Amino acid sequence: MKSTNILNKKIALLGSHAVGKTSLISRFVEGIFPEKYLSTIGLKVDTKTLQVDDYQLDLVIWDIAGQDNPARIPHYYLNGCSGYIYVVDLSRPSTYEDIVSRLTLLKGMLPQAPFVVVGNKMDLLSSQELEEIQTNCPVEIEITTSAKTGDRVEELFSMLGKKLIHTHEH
Amino acid sequence: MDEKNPLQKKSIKANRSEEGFFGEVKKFFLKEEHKVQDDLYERLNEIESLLASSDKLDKKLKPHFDKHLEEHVTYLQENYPDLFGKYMATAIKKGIKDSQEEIIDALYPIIGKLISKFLRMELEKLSQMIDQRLQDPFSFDNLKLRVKALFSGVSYEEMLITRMGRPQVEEVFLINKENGLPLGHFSIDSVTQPQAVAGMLTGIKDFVEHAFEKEDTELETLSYDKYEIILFNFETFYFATVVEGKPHAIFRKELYDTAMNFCEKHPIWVKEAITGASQAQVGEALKDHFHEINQHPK
Repeated sequence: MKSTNILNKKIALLGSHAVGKTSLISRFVEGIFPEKYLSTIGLKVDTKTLQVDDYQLDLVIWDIAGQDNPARIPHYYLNGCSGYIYVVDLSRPSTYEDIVSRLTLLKGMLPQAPFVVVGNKMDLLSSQELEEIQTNCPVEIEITTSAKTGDRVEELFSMLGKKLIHTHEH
Repeated sequence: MDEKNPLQKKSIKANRSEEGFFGEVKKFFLKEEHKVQDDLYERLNEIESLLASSDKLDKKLKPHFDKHLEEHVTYLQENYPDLFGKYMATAIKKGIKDSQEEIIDALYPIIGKLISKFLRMELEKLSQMIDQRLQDPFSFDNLKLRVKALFSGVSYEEMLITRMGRPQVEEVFLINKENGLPLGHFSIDSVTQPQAVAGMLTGIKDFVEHAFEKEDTELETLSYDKYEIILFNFETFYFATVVEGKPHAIFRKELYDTAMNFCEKHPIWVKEAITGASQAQVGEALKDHFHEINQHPK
């Protein structure tokens, strides 16, 4: 019988305003705090436990209010963050056109933290349009999701979970 | 000249005899209609005289009116809330708004009496509790309190009253300051998601501390309703103790001492931000230390 290791990790969802960060979390967890916190202190925290390989991964997910420029994210909200998901809206090019500089800035703030770039709102586009965006996007969009339909949302968090475990083991 | 020729005269005569004949035929065939017409005239005259005399009209109409009126009144009585409820509510709201001062004047004595009654009952309860304590002056607890009063300079009665309204520790979180993850947690009632609560507490604490940009200042208390969250900040972690009631200075000191005792007793956990211990282990240790305050106040 395999033993289960328990890992507690703080992760954050980042990206421009209205890309669907809160909707992705709502699809993934049953929240306990109301969304009004996002407009007051710019933050809402939820939790979710994932089983990834031999690990029980207790994720504490910080939903940080959207900022186009990562430099404007309150740095103290990112303290001790083990990984993050950078969300872009596939239907709005302005949310990923400047992605290289935004990710560079975030890598500087969280040098050790693994991350996943996700294209949300895939339900609004045809498969041909999706292919074109993925080809033209300056960085690799590792996964596309739809918070509206729930498509591949679990997969997104598992993907980050695997990266977190990999970082933890090495 | 009005003279007609003989042919014309003959024709007029024939016409006259024809009219008489047709008149008779008409009378014969329209006999029934004439009767109806006469009846109608008669009825019309009756109605005219009825309308001219109000007494007669009343007698005729009253039974019909009474019946309909009764039906309408019953209908209104049964359906009044549905028909007029919202208009009444609006009117009452407006009435209250327009005469707030008069209403307050009218209610003030009643509310005052209720509050005074409530306070009297609460004071009676407190008095009974103190009496119970005083009835047993040689109990260990009382002797201990008397000795403490003697040495601390606080009167025995004051200490007794403080003891009666003592706050209760409801929950304790030990939280990593950097990432907001709970290192351990103890609660009298189970909390569904201590990790999310610890995260939000850390977020709020960080937000407040950075919003005012005062150097070397840390959030120490959060208040809500009858609860207070008292925070004790250390280098890499902090304690968040949820207390029911209004904690006075002596109680805060007791809490702080307990937190310090915890750190002294578990120096390795504290030094390594408790990465070496499981949350359950730390939770048990927190329970051992802080539950003691509720059970055996110093």
